[in-house]
Amino acid sequence: MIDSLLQILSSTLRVSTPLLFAALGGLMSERSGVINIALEGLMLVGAFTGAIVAYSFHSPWLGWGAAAISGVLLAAIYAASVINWKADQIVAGTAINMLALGMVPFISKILYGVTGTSPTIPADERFIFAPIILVWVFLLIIHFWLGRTPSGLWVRFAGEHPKALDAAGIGVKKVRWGAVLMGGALAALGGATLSTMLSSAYARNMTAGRGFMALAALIFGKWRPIPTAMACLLFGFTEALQIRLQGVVLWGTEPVPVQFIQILPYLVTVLVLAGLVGHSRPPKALGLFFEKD
Amino acid sequence: MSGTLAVELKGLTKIFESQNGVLAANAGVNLRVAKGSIHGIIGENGAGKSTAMKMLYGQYTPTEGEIWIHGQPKHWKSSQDAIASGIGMVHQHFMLAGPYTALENILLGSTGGAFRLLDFVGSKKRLEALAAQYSLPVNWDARIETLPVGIQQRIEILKLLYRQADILILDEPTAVLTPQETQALFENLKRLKNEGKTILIVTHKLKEVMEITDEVTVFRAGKVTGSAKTAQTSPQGLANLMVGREVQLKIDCGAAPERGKPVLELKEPSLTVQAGEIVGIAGVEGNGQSEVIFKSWEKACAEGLRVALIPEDRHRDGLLLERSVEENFLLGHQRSPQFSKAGWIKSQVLKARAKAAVEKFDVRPRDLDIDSGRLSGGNQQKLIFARELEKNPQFIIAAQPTRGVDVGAIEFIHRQILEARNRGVGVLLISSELDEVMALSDRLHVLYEGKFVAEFKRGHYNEQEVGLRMGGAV
Repeated sequence: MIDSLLQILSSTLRVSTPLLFAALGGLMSERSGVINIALEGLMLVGAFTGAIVAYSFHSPWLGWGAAAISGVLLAAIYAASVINWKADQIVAGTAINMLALGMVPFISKILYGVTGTSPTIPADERFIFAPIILVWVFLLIIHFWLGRTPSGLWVRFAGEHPKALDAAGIGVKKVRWGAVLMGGALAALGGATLSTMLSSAYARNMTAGRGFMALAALIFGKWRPIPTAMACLLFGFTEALQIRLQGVVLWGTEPVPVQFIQILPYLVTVLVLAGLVGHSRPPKALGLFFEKD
Repeated sequence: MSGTLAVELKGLTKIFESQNGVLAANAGVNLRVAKGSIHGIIGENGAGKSTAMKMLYGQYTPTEGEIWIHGQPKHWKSSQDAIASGIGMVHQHFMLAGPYTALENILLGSTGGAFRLLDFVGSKKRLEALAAQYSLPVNWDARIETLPVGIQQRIEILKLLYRQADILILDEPTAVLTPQETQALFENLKRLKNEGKTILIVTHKLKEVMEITDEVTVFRAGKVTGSAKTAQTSPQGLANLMVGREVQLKIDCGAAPERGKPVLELKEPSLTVQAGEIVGIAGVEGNGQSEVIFKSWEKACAEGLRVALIPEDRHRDGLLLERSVEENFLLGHQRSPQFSKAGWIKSQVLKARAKAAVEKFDVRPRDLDIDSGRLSGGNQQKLIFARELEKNPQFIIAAQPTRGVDVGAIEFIHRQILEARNRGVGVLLISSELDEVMALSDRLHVLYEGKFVAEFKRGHYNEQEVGLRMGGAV
């Protein structure tokens, strides 16, 4: 009993790591006033880039670095569309997700002749636990950075009252660019964690909605770092539970069909967003294009 | 002379380019402000006051012209440069974020590295000392949204002092204040002046200009039309300069007609308006005005009266900004047999009536086809009056009828309201401009936190008393 409990807990920490990376990425972007439903696409690109670079160069760290760069590049397309070209943030975010969905199999086909799974990374070239520690370090850094530094204040004001930031003589667009790019890197790291720690390769569409779950965690956490992390742990826990419950006979003689068990994390997401969130006030300027007068 | 000038603008020009063409918001503005003085910047809406101030504050880059500060030419890339040169600005809409603390809002503008740790404890100590020095206490750990407007303005002013600004620009600082808060603000401004600070105050209230400023500069249509020592000018003279013609400043109400039957009787809050009288409601904005307006409208309509409504927010509730003047004139009349038959609009009649109304109410330009959004504030309001009075109303609800309206149009609108009263129409006037409600109303209620806290009859009140009640004093 204790054993399986510990197992579930350690599994919770593991599976919530990609979620938390992505949620922190979303937090960076959204606190600066830019909606980020592109998290899903950013994760996917990060997962793919991380896997193939780690495999090719025999280093998960290089894979990670490459994933971060790919996230920054993809986020730059998004940032340019919504910060400079006034694109609708939901539409542009959806476009980024579709771009990622199409681009990754395309490149995979060129590189390996298949659109599905990338080559398997040998076990000693994968992460064991480093991302789990790093994500919590990042969380603390972001928490203190937002609260205690000038640039943290800038990000918060860019999302809450961009005119005030502008009046203080700081470029709103620059701050948002910085935040969205950082967010892109973090979300891509989440994806890379998925492919280089939780599994051994990139698999087609392996993010499976985790980007949206991260967004849900962000909203559930009221756009604040620590509560967002707690929300990620909750989602991680349901996923760990789900994995643990597969094939287990709960009652009667037959195990519960695996499809029902797999619904669990999504069900919790829906329930949490529908019922438990309560009064969650987004940053006031979230989703609003900013132009000097 | 130029050695003692704190600010000098030389031929400052700002041209905005947009899809609709080129707009010169400022054209060759010259302005000289002596060090250690309070300088009034007055002008109607859209006269270019704010544009000039935003250039001075580095938010806009001038298209042409020069800015000189303390005898030095300045070329600013952003407000940060202006702030570094000792200039500070309190915007009309405060630059404070609601969910963050007063302290965080002040520290937003602090200079130094972007990733260093902010010194919350030390900054708070210095701010407390500064606040004590000017006797402007503030709870620095309170979130902005929990603080009243007067305190928020105090924070804005302390923000400038904290950044060691010695040239302070205040854009319409009294718009949101009660008369008592205004007096307190003026005391502080005088004190700052005595310490050698230079203050530019942008306003459209002539009374305040006369009271507080040493010198005054008048803007009209993007240009400076006059500059004078305040002591050597008069409100009338300034108003004429602002509008560009003789204006009637004093409102002559004449004798009220015989009062008729009540046109409105509200129970909660208790309010009666009789035919042939103007009942005014004074109060700081956000004290329940909208509820009173809505209830009055509902009640009067339920009783089958013809009600004219001049809404509080004309952009939201008064006009369809992207539709033509003619269509806006038709709004609310579209089902009336005068204008339609069997579901079809009588376009000839509409055109003729709209044309006559635009003429009568002096809506400029006289063009029925342009979008109402392209009219100036005053002309939009005149269009709304034209439409509403077309109903031949028995009861008029006029909410903030002259907000954002220039002096010339104010005069016109006031005359319309008085003429309606003299014809025996009951008028409910809701306004946050104290001078306006006091001058026009036959009876005056003061609204505070959703309740009427005082009632006065014409000739039985003064600004002091009404102001105190507006602020909640008993």
